[in-house]
Amino acid sequence: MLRIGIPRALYYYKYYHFWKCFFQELGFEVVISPKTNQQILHWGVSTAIDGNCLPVKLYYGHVRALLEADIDYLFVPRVISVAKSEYICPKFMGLPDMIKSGFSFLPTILSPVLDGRKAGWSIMQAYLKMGVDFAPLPRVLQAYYRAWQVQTEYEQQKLQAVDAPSDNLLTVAILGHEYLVYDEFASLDIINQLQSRNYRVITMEQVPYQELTIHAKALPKRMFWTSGRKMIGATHYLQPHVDGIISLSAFGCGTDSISVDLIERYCYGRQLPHLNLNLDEHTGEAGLVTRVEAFLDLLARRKMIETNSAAHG
Amino acid sequence: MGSSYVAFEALLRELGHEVIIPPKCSKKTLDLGTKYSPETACLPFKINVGNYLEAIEMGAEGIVIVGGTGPCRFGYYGALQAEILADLGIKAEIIILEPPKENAKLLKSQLRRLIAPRGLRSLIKGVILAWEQLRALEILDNAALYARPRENKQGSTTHAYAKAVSELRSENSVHAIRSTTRHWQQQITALATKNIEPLRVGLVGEIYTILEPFVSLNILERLGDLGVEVYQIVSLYAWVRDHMLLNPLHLYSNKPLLAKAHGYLSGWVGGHGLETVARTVMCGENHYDGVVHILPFTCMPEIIAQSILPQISNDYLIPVLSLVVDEHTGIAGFQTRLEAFVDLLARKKQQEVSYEQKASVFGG
Repeated sequence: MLRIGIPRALYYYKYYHFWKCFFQELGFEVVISPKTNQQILHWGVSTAIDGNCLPVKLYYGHVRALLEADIDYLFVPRVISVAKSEYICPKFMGLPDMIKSGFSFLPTILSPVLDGRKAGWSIMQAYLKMGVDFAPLPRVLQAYYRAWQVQTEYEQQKLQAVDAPSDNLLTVAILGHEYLVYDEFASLDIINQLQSRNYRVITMEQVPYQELTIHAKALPKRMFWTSGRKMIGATHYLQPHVDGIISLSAFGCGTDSISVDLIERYCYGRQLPHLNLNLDEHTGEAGLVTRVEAFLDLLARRKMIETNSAAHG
Repeated sequence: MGSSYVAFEALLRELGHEVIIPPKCSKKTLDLGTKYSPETACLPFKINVGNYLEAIEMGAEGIVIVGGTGPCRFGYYGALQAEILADLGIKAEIIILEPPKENAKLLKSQLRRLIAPRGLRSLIKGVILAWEQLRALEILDNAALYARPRENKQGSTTHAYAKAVSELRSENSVHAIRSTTRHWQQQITALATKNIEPLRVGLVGEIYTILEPFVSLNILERLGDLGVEVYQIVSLYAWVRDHMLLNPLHLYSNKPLLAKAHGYLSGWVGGHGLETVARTVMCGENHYDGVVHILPFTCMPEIIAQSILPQISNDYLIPVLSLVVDEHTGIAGFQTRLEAFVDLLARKKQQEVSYEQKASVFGG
């Protein structure tokens, strides 16, 4: 059985369910790198160029981790776009070439070009083209369809109606790229930290996709990064439903330098508390926890004042 | 962006507007810009904001900038900068010219607004003048890069170039621009009196950083003074021609670039990433003595290129130096690194020459 390695980084956090199903249906054994840890961080930081953001450095680290696992193929897609007329980040477009330059010995890399800029069949064709090297077309089509089903189910599960929060629980939205928000090591496990302190946490994946797009249209200029559109759309949509927003960004993230600034201005204009956490390989947990606790104190105080004011008219 | 303001000034002046050129980029520009821009915005963004604020201090009422569709951040500069100025309470009219496929209707109304004083004919003449100015600047730039390492008196090339630019600014016809250019090209080239063979170094990287001396820490002058002939492989004239003329007419193809970058980078990555990789390969193929790569901190396409350049350096045996600049870059450290790199190139060349000499002695 052929073994294909998928690094547990970047778009793993978005499309893992699709990829795992697709490759398994084609007869591969899917090998994932372990969860991000100190060793992977170290490998990544020493292989990648300094200027890269933390998630990309971690990607290098995860590739290195997979090299220990004796795989036949490595899956590093060239993702140009996942939505019409939008981009993600240039680094995704150059990722396979960067990885090839970073390591001297690599197994065969599979890098389909996923270009969703013009909608249509382009992305499906890319997967099919890659798949027919390993199985006959009917089987590949079936694999693609099953994978798409599994992915859709997963995304539906994540959606949750965003109700008015109860008076007792404070609700905080955590916005940021999926590969930061859901990587427990990189995000210093912030979601669990908040939930364990009895805060309700909402992320972008829990907002219906159409709402993100509709609300992002409020921007004077169309946001051409998918992540930016989702983060800003989520901010606008969630503003009446949450007590505060925490945005997670990686130091050096190009798209966030613009998106987070727009979020900051929006929140300031509407008096919605917003905390931006800038993460890199040096981020110390203690400092981060202190800032988050101070922010949560602020939210609690506001709630207290609001509740008291309401009682007195 | 360096001396290119001459071209845009010509265009806007021809359209009948009063053009305000902000002072040359300086520490004040940078301080203003960094104060009001997001911390991790790229340096060109911050300098732009500084330029706007200085121009507004001088009485500017409107700003024209082009937009874009990504993935490079430049496409969103105008929109965020407009928010920044609005939040500062500044009432300037910001006109962002987006590519037609983004919003053709808006573009039409913006162009109408711009040509309001003098009409369509002025737009045509203005564009022709701007085009000629860009071409002229390219010719003079190349002359200066040729002359500077060979000049007898340090600074004479820069001085002559500045005089040429200021004369170009006052020209208002194609004929005058061309004759001024010819005259100054001769003057500048005549300064190349030293009979030496300078090191040949290609300069690649992000276009704004290369063209704006304040951002590049005057790298063109510094390298020239160190006796290096810089082949400035990026040119605004070529960029405008390719992306504003040929591309909309579907006559532009980046196939030649892809062919050069084959094996290193297999696709467009936004900004100048692909150009940088392709041009570094060209420098290797043409046996230049070295390549200097310059980029603003956090520039995404250039970081991709920066990751790949070491491999090209290895394969073609050509030294490559990547320099990352931001508002904290210290001049002393920058100069030291350039000097060390040039020393390395000079030694390498010397060794190669002596190997050749030895080989010919022993029967080559």
